[in-house]
Amino acid sequence: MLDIIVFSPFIAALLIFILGLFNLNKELKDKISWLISTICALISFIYVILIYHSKLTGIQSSIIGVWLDYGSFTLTVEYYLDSWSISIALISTLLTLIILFYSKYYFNSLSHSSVYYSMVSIFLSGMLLLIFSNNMILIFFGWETVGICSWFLIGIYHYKGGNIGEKAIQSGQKAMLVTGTADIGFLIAIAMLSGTSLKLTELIGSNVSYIVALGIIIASFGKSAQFPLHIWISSTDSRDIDAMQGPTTVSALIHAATMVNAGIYLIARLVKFGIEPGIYHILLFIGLITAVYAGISALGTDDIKRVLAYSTISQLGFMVTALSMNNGYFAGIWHLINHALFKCLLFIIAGTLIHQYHSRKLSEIRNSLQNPVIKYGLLIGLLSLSGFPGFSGFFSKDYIVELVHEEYGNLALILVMFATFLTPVYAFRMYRILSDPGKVKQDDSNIDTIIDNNKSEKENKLPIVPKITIILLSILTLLSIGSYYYLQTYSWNAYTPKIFEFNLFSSITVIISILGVIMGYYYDRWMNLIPVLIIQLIKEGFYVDYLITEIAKIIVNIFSVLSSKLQTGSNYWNFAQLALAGGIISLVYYLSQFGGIF
Amino acid sequence: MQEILFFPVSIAMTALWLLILPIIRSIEDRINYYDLKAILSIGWAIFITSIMGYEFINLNSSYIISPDFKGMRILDVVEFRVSKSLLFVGLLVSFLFTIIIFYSLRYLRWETLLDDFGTYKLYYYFLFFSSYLGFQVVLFANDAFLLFVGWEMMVVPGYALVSIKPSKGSAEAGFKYAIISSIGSVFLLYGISILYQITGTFNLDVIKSKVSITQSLSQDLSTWLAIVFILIGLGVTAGFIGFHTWIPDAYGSATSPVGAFISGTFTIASTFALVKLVINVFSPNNYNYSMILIYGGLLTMSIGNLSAIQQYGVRRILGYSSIAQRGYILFGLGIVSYIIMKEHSYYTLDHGFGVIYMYALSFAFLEGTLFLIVGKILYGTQLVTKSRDMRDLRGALVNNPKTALMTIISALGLAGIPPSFGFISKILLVMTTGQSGINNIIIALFLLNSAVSLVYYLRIIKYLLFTQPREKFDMSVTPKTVSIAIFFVSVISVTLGIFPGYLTSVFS
Repeated sequence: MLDIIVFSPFIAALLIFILGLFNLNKELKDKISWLISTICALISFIYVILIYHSKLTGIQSSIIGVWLDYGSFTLTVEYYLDSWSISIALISTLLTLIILFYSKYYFNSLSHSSVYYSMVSIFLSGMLLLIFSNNMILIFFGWETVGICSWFLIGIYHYKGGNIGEKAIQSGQKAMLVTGTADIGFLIAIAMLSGTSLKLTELIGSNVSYIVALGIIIASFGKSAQFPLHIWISSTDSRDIDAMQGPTTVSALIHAATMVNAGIYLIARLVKFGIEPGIYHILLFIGLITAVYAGISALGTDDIKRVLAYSTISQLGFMVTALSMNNGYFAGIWHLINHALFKCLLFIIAGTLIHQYHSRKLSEIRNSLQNPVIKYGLLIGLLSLSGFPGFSGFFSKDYIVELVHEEYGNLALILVMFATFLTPVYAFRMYRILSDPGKVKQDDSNIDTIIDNNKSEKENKLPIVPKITIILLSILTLLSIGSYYYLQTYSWNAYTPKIFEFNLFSSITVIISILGVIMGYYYDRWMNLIPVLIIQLIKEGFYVDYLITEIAKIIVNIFSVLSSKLQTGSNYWNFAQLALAGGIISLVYYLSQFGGIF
Repeated sequence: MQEILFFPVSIAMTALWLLILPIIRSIEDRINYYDLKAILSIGWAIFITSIMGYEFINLNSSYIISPDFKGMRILDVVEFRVSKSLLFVGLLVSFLFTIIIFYSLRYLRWETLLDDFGTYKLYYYFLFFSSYLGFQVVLFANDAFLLFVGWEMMVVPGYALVSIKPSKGSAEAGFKYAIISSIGSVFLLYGISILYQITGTFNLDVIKSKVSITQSLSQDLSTWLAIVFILIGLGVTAGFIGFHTWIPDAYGSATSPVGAFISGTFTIASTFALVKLVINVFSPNNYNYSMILIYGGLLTMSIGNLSAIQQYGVRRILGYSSIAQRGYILFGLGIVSYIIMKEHSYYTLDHGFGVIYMYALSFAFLEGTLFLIVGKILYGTQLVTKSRDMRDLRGALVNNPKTALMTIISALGLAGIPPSFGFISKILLVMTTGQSGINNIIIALFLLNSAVSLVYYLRIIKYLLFTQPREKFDMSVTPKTVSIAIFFVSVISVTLGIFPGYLTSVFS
């Protein structure tokens, strides 16, 4: 059964590839490939639901059996089912299905549609392999597969050429380079674990060493865009090279709802392996820093997708924070599911707006919420994101805050409270700008270019596909409060999670979120009071992206100039490099004499 | 009996073809059909491959064979050793060789065939087959002297192949390669002669037993001289740091099929020669040279990767990448010998080094694919630009989705990313490294290198596939045979990547 789930999207991709070999009409080809990929995703989804209701757990065998066999090392394809894998699989297949449905509307003009559909199918297949497999190597296989798909799909606008094409390509390269560098951590973990065992079932409960834990954490932080490796998913307005250059459907599916959860999934697994207490503190620290940092940076950007991207990073920070706690295992997955739903909704709405107004700039799509479906959909999504009382995000986020209150000191509590407060602020700042009738700015220099968004009735009328998608996702977002009960049907290692109960402490979070909504909506009243320098800093994302890129460039340049001098054959350079090489070797040798962490 | 009957046939048949080729050349003149030797060469290469395949299927255990005449050995030094994994390597390389010969059929018309009567072509096939003959001898030789003869038979045609294109650059590159490699060969020969002086024999099995019995040899200066000289001699072709400078020049100016053949085949041969002459003979239990290989490998891969970052020449970048990949192989050899040293375990020639063989094989196939693709691009863009710079060739594959897909697969495979079997071999290498218990800094440096290599592999993809072209390239002028050849090589690497079970079971 699991073989069907994992491989049916892959078969879809194969079929589309075979289809590409025939000389068919392009439109027909696109339609058929859409149909194939949707059907195969649907098959996966149905089977995931079936498995959910059959309550299968533990190791499931595959018909593939032994995949490779080398010396004493045998890799058997096996699947491991538990609450985490089944929940993420459920959300991934569901959202892929919805996105594929929506893509029909969004991509009616894309010239690479069939490539797009096949890549999404491969992505789903890789994601499911990553989630379900019981072996670290197969997890890595899936991990790299989703990485490639992400890289390709970000850069799918490369055929447009010019500035857009160049940006798309560079964004893809950046995503691949950052995650690829972080994947060294995964390889280190595999290298270290290969002496013992690479099976999840055998690793769970066997305390892993510092190096393994750090390696897995670095890889996860790369995929899940934690500070400072978030730069591939959201850079700044001025640099504008990040994953948001891809189509909005890709951002919704891969960079908000599914792929970025892979890192969270791996950290959840790692936590179950049993790790040193210090690792928990790293998780907490980075999680909180990310949540706060992304929350602040989201205030400064003027790009609808970038606000959402920063908010994704921030919410992922919340999940990492949740996983840094003993009892946060359930809170993490709960927030993950809620977040996937409402973030997908928000991205779909953003995509629809971008599709209608042909701009991503918030200042250019002011007053664009005439359509009630878009307006109320956006409101539902943003309220859930902000953790407004009564919406899904509130319960999971409140749960995380309470856990932090229980387990850590006041500093952590203040930080998590601050991040909770920031969420509604940037969310409703965005809502305010979008719903604002568009006050003419004070500087009259570009008065001619201000777009009149009071378009005719006809233009504000939504086509049926996005309408259905938004309504469906809104309902799912509202219903995802119930995911608590849905998730509870699986055992959570004898830990019964508790749901929100009203007391003095939780009233603080209620007040904070309501205050945040108000602060966000009237952002123009207080934002002027902040010094310009700080605003600039926020707009540039504290120059993190800039610094990392430039430092990497400088290091690479120094080394490559040195090494290209060797090729000239000059003796001085040869001797200099001989000395350098000797120095490096002796340094490495000297360092290797130390025990401990090295 | 059957095995003994069949084995030398593939070597003998390759040698026979060297005799037949000139005759075909003279026939060509009479019938006025100058593709004859090319077509017959393809047929002959397929014939050799099928002999190998037949032998591989029917082989059950490894054996040693020396051609004899009624019980008397003809030559004392001729002794071959055949095993399942060696034959598998031979079979795959033979397949690659066949593909490259097939690729050359139409490709040569453009890049080397200035002489319409096919003199270059005669040299070309003659050199190709003799180099391949040398490779087979190196692969199967169980005798130091035979190995050296095979080595020279493989390398010397290499110089000529590199400079076969009548241009100044390729002549210079071939000359550079010839100079550096001849010095290396002298070292190699000297090392082998010291081995002979120590043990009084060329037979590798006997040398091995004599060396392992006499413990005092490990303190002997001459033994170490032998090790170092052999390392230097093989290091030239293995791309050991300091001797690597010929590689970018040679690959930058050799024609594409030559690059595809030399990069893969010579690397595999140098890997086997290193294992046979050094690691297998001087057991790492007594001779602590593993660190030379490890650090040398690390520096080699760093130099290769970091130099490649600055490059935009479409073949030069492949040259640097192949330096880096050779670094990985040297590193892996060092790691395996480190394991042997640490655990005092005894690895035989076939087992233990399987990871390295797999890595070398995947490198040969993936790098070969990239070279063939580059050849296709240069062929297709010749009417528009004569440049080899990626910035001028940008977008050459934009309208060729199938070749583009194969480029992505091979380039990512070299960086150790699925779906090609570069992923499997990289992962197994990483796992072996982890199991060796070597210092974590070394592992980190090794893995950091693979991250750096992503930069230029992605650059190849970026320029050739994604960036929109300045001028329209009409790639349809490239012959069909070129595309078919590329397709076959990538099919092998993807199949072995998705179903690696058979590959790994052969080597374990």
